[in-house]
Amino acid sequence: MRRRAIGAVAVWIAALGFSGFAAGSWSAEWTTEVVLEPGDKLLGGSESTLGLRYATESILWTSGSEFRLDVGYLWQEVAVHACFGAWDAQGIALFGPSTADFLYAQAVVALRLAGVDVDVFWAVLGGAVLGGPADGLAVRLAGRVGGFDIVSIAEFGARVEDEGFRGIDIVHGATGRYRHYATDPVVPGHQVWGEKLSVSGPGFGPVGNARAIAYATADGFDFFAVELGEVDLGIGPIETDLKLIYDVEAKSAAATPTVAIGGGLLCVAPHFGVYSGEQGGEVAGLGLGGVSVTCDWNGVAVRSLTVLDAGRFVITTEESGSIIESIDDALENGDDYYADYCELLSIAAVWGSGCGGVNRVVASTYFSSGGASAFVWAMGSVEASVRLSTGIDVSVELALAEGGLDCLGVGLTLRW
Amino acid sequence: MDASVRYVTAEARDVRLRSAEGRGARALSVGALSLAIVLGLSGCGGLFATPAELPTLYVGAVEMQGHEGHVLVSVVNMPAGGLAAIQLGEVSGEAIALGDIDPTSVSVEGKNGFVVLAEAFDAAGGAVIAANGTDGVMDGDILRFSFAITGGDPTFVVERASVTLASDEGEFVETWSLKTAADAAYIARSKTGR
Repeated sequence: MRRRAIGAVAVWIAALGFSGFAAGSWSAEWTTEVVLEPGDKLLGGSESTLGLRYATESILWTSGSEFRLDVGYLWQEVAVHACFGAWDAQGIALFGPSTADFLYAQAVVALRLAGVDVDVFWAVLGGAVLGGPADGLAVRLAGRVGGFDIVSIAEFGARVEDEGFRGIDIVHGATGRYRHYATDPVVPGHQVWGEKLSVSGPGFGPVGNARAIAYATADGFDFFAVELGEVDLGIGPIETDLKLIYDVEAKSAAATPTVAIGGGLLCVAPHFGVYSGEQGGEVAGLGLGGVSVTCDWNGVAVRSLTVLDAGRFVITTEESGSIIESIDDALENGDDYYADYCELLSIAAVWGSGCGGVNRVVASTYFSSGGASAFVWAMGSVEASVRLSTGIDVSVELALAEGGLDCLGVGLTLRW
Repeated sequence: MDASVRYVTAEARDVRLRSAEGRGARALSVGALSLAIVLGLSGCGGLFATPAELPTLYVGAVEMQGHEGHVLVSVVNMPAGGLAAIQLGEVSGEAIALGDIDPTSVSVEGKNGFVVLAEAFDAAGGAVIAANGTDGVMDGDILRFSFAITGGDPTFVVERASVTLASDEGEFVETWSLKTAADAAYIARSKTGR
């Protein structure tokens, strides 16, 4: 059954792809990066990706390949995206060439009809992946009724990425490299079905917008959440987002206030933590755990993240968004964080290259709270990418640690 | 018959074509909705129920970044509300054997709500006790080990007989398998969240 399903996906992708070969255009992009590290082993790593695109009027066929110096041919992904009127169909298949394994496939068929969006997600996970074999389906219906947006996701052995659920990663165990997809057929507990219903609408009174979400599975009620966004507290430019969650075991509340100055030019967001008392469930007080300050102006963004309660709050890594988060939330969300750094200062600038693309520079520096000094410099990095012409980008990445140069990466992207 | 003769005007031809497209779209829509209903009912009937798999503790390969190394420990398909506690050996009965790794440099970090309660690493190996006080983890990472590499072939081996697992429902997980990167080169990691 599963082999037939995998075969059907492969045939479907191939058929859609080859059907468009009659008239179309090819394009390609090759990116390679070499990382140098001081010390015994100068060459820290090297990786290359090759992307191929073949586009016709209604079909886009893509291929993505990734190669690494230590592993070889790591990933091969093929995908087709086709549009026919109100229909939109996508298919993706992932293979592990170094082990000659089929890993994952996903198909998404979307129909926009009479104001209702119907999306059918289907995914299959190969047996070579720990957690597989598995397959599942989810159907998403979205529409607008009386000013309210209603979204229903019916799960038949698969979950779909949305604002609250983060999809699935296929991880290569030796390198930690991963590919991310929206449809997760490895449903925790392998329940047969689940239903998530979301109703969102315009605000009322001081509330900018509101949303209610309910989720139930074959095991019963899972959670109910109410979110109130952009709540005007009537105190100058202070707004806050409120979230109240009821689940099977507990009730939790979160408030995220924001101070926006100059029409959003300067934004200050304090992060509060609720502190428990000695008795279980008792709330002893509210403490300021950290402050985020961001300033965006004319393509230049300056950001300062300060953790004031290092025992409860952390700064997440760049891969996890570089945000201030409580340790509980970071663990719950699976976010990686820096345990020792309490301050991040970064500046990012983006500007046009004059040949169709953009140039970008990001400089970041981290401080730790060591010893008697409030802030001790701990780590810094600079990343820059520049478009030299329509077909050539170059990039440089420099990382500095307390011991000096940590690594130097040089990259080149060619397009034709 | 020439196409230009069949339709009196170009407008009439366009109307006819649009009508045909509309019928086609309606037919496709009805077909898609029918398919969705059939698939949905099939799901209710168990067609898409992922086959039961033995609860698994997965110890990833040593991931090297220069002179530092990391090992990620994950669980798959843990029963009874998920894994809530794990004991990897004890002092003088270590479950973790290290090769080309400095034991004094090992640090352990809990993932997905797991908190490390006790750890001990020396030349004989390592032992760790960790628990999740709020929820069980059915599928996902639970521990991340970081260490300094001292040789060219670092190894991180867990002995199954010295490992004890407990579920969120307060029961020992008796039947489970230990798998490593040698058994499966890839792992599916469901991202948590609501």
